[in-house]
Amino acid sequence: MNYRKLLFGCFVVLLATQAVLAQVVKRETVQPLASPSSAKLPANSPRSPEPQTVVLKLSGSPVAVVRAGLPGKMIPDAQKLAIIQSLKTQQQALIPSIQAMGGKVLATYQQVLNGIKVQATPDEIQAMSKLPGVIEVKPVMTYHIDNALSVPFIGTPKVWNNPPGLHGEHIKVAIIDTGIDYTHANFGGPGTVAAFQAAQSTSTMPANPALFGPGAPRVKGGYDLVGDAYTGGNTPQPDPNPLDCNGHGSHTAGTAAGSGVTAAGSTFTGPYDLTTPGQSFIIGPGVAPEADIYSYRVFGCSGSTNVVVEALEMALADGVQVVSMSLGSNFGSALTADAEASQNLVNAGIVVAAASGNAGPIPYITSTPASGTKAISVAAMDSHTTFPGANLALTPSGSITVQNSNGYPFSNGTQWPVVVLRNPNGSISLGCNSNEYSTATGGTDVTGKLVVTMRGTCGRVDRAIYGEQGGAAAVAMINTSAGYPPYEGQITSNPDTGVPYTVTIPFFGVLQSDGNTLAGSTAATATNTTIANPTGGTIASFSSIGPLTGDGHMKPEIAAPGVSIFSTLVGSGNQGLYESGTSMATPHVAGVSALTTQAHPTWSASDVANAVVNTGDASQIVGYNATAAGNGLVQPYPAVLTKVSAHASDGTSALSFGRLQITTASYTGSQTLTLVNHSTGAASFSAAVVQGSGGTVAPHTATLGSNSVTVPANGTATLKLNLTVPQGSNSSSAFHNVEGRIVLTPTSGNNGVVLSVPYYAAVNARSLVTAKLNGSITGGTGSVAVANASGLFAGTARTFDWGIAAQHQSTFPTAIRSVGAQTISSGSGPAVRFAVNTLGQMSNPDSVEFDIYIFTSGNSNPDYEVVGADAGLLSGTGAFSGSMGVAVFDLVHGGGVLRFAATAPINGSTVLLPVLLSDLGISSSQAFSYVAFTTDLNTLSQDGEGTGWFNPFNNTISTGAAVSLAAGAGTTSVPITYNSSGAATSPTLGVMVVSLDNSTGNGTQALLLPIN
Amino acid sequence: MKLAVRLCLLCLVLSAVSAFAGIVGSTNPSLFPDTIDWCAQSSFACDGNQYTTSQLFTSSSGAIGLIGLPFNGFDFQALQAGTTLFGSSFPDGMGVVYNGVSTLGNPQDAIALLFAQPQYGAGAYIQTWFYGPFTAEVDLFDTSGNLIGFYDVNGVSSDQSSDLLFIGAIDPTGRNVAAALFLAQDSGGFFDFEIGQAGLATPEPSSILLIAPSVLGLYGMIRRRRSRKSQEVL
Repeated sequence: MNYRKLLFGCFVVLLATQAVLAQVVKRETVQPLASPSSAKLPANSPRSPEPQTVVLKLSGSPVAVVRAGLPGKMIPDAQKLAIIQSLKTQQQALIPSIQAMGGKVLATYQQVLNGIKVQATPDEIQAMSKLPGVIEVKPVMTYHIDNALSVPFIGTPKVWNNPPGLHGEHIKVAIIDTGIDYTHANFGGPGTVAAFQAAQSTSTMPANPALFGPGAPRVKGGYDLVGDAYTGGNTPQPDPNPLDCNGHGSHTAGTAAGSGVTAAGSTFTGPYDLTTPGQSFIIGPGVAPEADIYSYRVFGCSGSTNVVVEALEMALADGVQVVSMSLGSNFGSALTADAEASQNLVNAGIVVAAASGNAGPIPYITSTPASGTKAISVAAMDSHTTFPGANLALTPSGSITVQNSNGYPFSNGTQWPVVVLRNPNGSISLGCNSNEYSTATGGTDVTGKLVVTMRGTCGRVDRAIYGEQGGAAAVAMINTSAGYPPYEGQITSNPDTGVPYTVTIPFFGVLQSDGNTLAGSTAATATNTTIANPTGGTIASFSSIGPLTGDGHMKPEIAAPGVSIFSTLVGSGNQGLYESGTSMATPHVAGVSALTTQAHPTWSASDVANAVVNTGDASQIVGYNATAAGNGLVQPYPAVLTKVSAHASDGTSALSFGRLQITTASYTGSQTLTLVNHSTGAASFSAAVVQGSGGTVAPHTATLGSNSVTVPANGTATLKLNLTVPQGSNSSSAFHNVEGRIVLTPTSGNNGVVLSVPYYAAVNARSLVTAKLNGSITGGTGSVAVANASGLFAGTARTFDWGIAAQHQSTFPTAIRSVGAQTISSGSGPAVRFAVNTLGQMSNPDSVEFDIYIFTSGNSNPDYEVVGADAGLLSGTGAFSGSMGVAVFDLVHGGGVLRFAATAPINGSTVLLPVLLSDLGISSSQAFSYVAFTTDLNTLSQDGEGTGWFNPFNNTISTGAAVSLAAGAGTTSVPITYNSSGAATSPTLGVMVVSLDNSTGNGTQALLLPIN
Repeated sequence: MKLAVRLCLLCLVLSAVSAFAGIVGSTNPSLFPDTIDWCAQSSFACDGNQYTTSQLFTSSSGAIGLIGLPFNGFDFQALQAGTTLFGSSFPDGMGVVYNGVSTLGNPQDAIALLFAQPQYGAGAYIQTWFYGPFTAEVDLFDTSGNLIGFYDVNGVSSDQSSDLLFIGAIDPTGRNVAAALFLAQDSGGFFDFEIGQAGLATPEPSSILLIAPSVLGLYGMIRRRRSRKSQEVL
């Protein structure tokens, strides 16, 4: 009796278990993108390996490293020359071997790196890496330029005023950019177009020493490393004359150290003090208006560059004290040659400021070379609280407020007839065709009128140019989204054609909601007003955010004005233009660094850089968070006044805890902040933590070892920060930030200057999903037991056919560990989904390209290429979108399609890449083979592994199960079948259980279960 | 046998020889508690760089020495699991010294620890670059460069922490060890390997008591092996 009851009980339990299984073991579907689009193969596809440019780093210290270890960081010329000669000898011995291997030697470095710059194929580079003395292969990134009221906005005139009365005198500031227009009045030149044209006609010859060189008023040195025709892809043609033919470098140099141009068009000669902003200027002075400018030209008239290290070498040799680099390459890490060169420069006594990038709020996308450990990475903020506007009283009725987008003046009471450009169907025209603005070309008579258009398709300011050329008195553009369109500032050229044209009529931006009101009017009477800038005080939407790819450390360091910055217009003699970008923010910080260097001549570059960052003001950033704004808005006045600087144990200006994975226990850790007092008087501070909150900031607790600290005269003191990230407060495996600031408020000493230091950690909560085979499944059927040992975090388990196993360890995290495939349904038909698991953690998978080559026809040539990469790159926009797409390329017939989004979590080690079987030409039970590659777009490290097999219609080992495992979930059995006959044509290594919520250490996101 | 002669022979005989001499071999890291953390050294960092001369190290108790690749004029690459080394069984954060065969094209070479003051013994976590079975060996040398003894053990290289192998050896007769060499040969015959955290034996009275049974047990094994080997010869 009892025995039967027990059996019955077991039966009930078994039924219940099956019911649970039916609920949790499911087959997923993947949904394609709303509309598939054609795709473009990214440049780094391993299919046709193009020559790459790298630096072969050699053993032996370059000049900068030796100099960093010497007293006062000064190196005797004889010792410097001996080092250079020794390294050159070492390099010359290797060059014949490099050339024999097929490499092209592009440059040799001895100052900031000991290395040989080489262009070669990946196979050749691999061979060169084994040459004696070659200790590392470092990628050379290709950089793009990141495209004055802001100078007083950050408080610079208080530094100019006496005391302290600092203007950058005798401080050498290097601008590594597109060159400089040394004929411009902002740099003490003649200030005429004719002077520029005369200089341009001899731009490959040595420049006029009265304008460029030691005897010139402002531009004391520099070099053109590339020539006008250089694009980044051809051979540079250096010459000694860095005249700018692009404009970017002249703009940035003007912000850092321009003299200013008076309303009369001549060079402003001072005095620079509190009264300066009240004077009339065409261009206001730069931050350090009496610093010595050194211009190193690394860009041609257009295109990109890969000669930045060469420029850094020259800057070091010229003895500059501050370097400004408004250039970058996305997803920077501390490992690139340029980042290492930047780091070496700081250690050798040179402050380096570089742009964080213009790719927007995509985690980890902040740029190199700003990624150098002690370089100051600069974010851009919008310093405009208001913009010029106009109240338009309309006839017959109504009134609206519009933005005066180019700020062109008009008199109150000015009245214009209103004319609307319309399409044949009566809708408001975009106004992108210049013919629309004249009856002579089949358009409308706009003479003397306010012309109304709609935003879209062409450059916004094209309408203003076409309108003025057609005789219009003003042009209005109706916005197509909420708010006003971007403020343009002075319009000086057509962005679609590049043709210069300075607009001298008002160009109004109109709210979308006011569009019909304006279009329904017949006349408008304008009155000047101002409108609030809705993004005033915020970090610019384009400003790249951190943390740092690789180690998850804090970047950027600081923010500066970078939206609509007015500075030098190249070739104009004495005019300026508005530009936006972290490029425009960076020279603000370079200028502040020059003033701070001048104020603290005995400090190390690292201490100067820390002072610049420590004195940032987070309260002036609306919606502040550290990963976007660093330590806040740069503040020159406190930077020059402070006597104390603060740094972390690695010498940087932030306490970085790196990437944390929270599993079963809370994270607790601590870091020590060191305060250095450079003065003869003690300084005491009260200390407090301001914890970040909101948004993606994870709950945490940060406490200090003491709430006060005294730093003795010419001494140091330390302060400990204890960080706890509780186990239960981060409920999902999604990426979170832990951030905040230590605020040190002086109670005595330090000239009353408040210091602050950010802390940061990149956090993911992780499940502990495990999987094991229940016995052997080689006989046909079996099961995999999956469970979640985490009592806190839910996890998932998906089953794949394990096709590829790596054969070795690696020194880069994106090398392949395993690859599998599963059959899955989609909204567009049956699909195969690949899982690519890497040996280490990827910071942002969008910084990696995944390539899977599919062999369906049985020969040795691949038939299709599946590419997982940032959707922006695949769609050909060239800009990162922040989400990974999956494209398929037909390698036999040509063409490609972008159809699916990938599953690619931040800080993960596995991505899932779905592909329609029809896109692979597979419609019946057919096995295919595949090989896989990963390419790290930051370091260009590449790994290839193969070969795997898969039959999507008749799996050798069943795939496609998806199990959700709640926190603490017990064992669930996932049925598995093994088709031994299928193994003959589609062999398998076993079951690959993918758990994207697991930790990444030792590959636990892909649990590999071999079968015998 | 002198150090130099011994090392020249290693590449020929390692896969064939598995023997104890007058030392105590162990895979138990707790017998080597005076740890050497390669990432905590002031003379080099775990940044992936190669170090072209032997580098000074200091153990947790303050013992000092040099680490390097002794024979081929090349030196080691300093790595850190999870930061500059991926796919190993070393726990994330552990400092790793690699002989650089695959990444730097170095000739196959041993990794040597030379001690400023003689030690009782030394050990280290060890594995080969390529996955699969391998044989690891540690050799101890005295202050005259004579081989005191060697110990080898089989392991498996993978990215699973369960495969983490420690190998060490102790001279039970006293503080005689002036140098320790580590080698590991993979199934392809290559000496392409790295060592993780190392440790020095510190046989204070309590430790001596703890390892005494092991010494006795190993002595028995040596006798059995010698006996078996003798039978083979006969």
